[in-house]
Amino acid sequence: MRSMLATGLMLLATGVVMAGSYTVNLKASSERAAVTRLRLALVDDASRIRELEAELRTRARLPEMQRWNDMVLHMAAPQSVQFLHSPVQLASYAAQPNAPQAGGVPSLRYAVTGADGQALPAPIGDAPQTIAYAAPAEAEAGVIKAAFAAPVANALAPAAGTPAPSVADPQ
Amino acid sequence: MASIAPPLPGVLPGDTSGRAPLPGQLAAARTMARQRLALLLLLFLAVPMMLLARLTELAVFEELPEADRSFASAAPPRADIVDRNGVELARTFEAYAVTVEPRRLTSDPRVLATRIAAILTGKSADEIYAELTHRGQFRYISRRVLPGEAKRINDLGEPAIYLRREAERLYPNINLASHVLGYSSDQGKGMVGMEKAFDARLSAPETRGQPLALSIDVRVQQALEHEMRALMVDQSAQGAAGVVLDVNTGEVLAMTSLPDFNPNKPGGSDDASRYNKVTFGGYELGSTFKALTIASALDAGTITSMTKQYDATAPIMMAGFRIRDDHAKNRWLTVPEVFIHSSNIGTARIAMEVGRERQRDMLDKLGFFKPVEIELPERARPLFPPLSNWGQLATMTISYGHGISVTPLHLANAYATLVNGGLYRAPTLLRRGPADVPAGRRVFSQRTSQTIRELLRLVVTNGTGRKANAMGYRVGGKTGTAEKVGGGRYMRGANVTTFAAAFPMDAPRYVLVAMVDDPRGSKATYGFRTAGMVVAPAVANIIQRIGPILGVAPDSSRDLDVSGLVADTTEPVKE
Repeated sequence: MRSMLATGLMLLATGVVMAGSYTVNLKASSERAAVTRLRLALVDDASRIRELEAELRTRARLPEMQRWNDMVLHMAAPQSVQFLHSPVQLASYAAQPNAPQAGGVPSLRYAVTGADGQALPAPIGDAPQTIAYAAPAEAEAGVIKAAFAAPVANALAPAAGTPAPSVADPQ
Repeated sequence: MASIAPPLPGVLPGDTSGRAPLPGQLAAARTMARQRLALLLLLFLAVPMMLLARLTELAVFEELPEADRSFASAAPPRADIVDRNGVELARTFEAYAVTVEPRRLTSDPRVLATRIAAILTGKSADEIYAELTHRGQFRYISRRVLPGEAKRINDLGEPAIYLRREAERLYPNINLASHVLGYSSDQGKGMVGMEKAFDARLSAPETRGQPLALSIDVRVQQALEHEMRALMVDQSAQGAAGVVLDVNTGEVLAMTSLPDFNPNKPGGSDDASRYNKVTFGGYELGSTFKALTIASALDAGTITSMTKQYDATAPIMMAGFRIRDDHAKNRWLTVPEVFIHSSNIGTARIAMEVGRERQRDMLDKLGFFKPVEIELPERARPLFPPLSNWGQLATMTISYGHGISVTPLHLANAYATLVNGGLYRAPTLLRRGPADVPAGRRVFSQRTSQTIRELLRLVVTNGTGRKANAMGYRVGGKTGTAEKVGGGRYMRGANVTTFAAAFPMDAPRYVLVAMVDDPRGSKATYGFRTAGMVVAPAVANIIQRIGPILGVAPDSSRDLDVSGLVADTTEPVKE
């Protein structure tokens, strides 16, 4: 009887081990299939990303940007007088907004010009407003007119107690 | 009749002796049976153990099968080409081609054409109808079709229409840098330009996962192309070319040749458009050679002082030829005057002092006797007189850029050598890291290089190149206007105008050579067709655009000190 019981236990153990192994095998197979699906999805996504990048790059190609600039934006290369060479030079503009600038350099200039040197319309709803902190010097003749939208002008306004900047055409 | 009797109690099965076993025998038989059963069970247990061991081995030690890796790879069929900042210039992606076998068509071609045209917006119904009714066996209706459009065409259900997956090469910037990039064929083989030069590198499975990084900066390329194209149109010229070179590394930052072509549709362009003037076009580049002549004289020691004067009172007559000045001063000229007045007579006399051998040696060191050293397969061999025919007349004419034809890239690299301290480095279209920059070989001395910088700056401040003086960028350069050669002879009234510039001259970083082929004059140049009037203003515009991109900040408070040279000149030049 005991030997029968031992034999039965051994058979049971064998069955359990076999079933367990099969389960592990199934699990491994399903995991492998999932990994394969994930890899395929990654390749597919990478391909789609490449397509989208190519489309973006094609739509935003530099010759097209140039065309928009020539037709609409009229951005020009910055002039040498628009470059600052030291923080002190920058600070001097903020310190004396109405004083003549050293070297005749304008206080603020954008390298943006409209056709025939006219100021561009403001990018937001408010009417364009031009301000001048200082009369530009002769050297600025080649520098174009600066146009600031009202929020920008407000941000540039001097602190309370100081005279308000005159609103005038900088030319 | 025999009958089979049941075994007697105690007789073992199979035992035919009929005798009852002894008690010891019975126990031994049972033990053996139990052992056999145990062995069998052990065998059963061994199988899952083996499976477990194999699973462990697969999970821990085994690598993925090769096939799995290949299908999961995202590497394109052909490597991308990017500029020095990683901006894509060429890339390959999978698209569809819609094809038809017209003879197997089952539906009405007119109706089918209309339905396909509604999907493919780039094609008209008439064009599609022409393909559907073509007498050939196989026709392309459209290529580079998006997957969504391909599916809709497939849903039409016409059995004669096939969709083919193709690896399509896309050049997103269309014509930009087309002569540098070249193009590849439908089969993915590089045909022209860098696509051809690096075909193996771009298509090899081991390397195609990594993009090929060029030395080109696409922003600089765009600025150069835009300005040169505008100039070509304004001048109604036959063509234009330009190149920007880093003088310290030899990297080409931009290279353009106009007219150009769309590498996405190379078949739609003519031969003239596919001709790269920068590396494949040989030109007599005129007075731009004068800087080389003076540099060789400085190195040879025949010019000992900038105050040394040369007789330019009258044209030189030799072997039936007359060497004269376009801006004749009819007096003795100092070296700076010879340069800024672009005196052919003075330069010829300087070259005669230097001599033929030194002149040839200098040109040889600059690589003027062989195709320019660059990766592009399209390279022209320079034209120059053979040694037997290189006499005094050739020495004099070559000194001011006549009688020898080289490519604009030859000239750009020579100017880079002139201003970078005198070191020649082969130009390249591949991005070079700091460790990859070659040491270079010395052609001119450091002192000569410094003097030439001052002379070049003087030409722009006081000479024929004043319109190239982009404020704050300390531009130096030399104009060159030469009669165009066609059919083996000079074409009267047709010029090749060139401007070779470098900036900033106090510490040169970049060389720009711009050339216009046969300018016709315009309102902007008051009808003039000389380099100083035609090319110099465009050079100023280009430098103003690319300077900030390249990190060269304009500074009007700094400049190269040319006061010593100015003292040797008498008057500014009038164009």
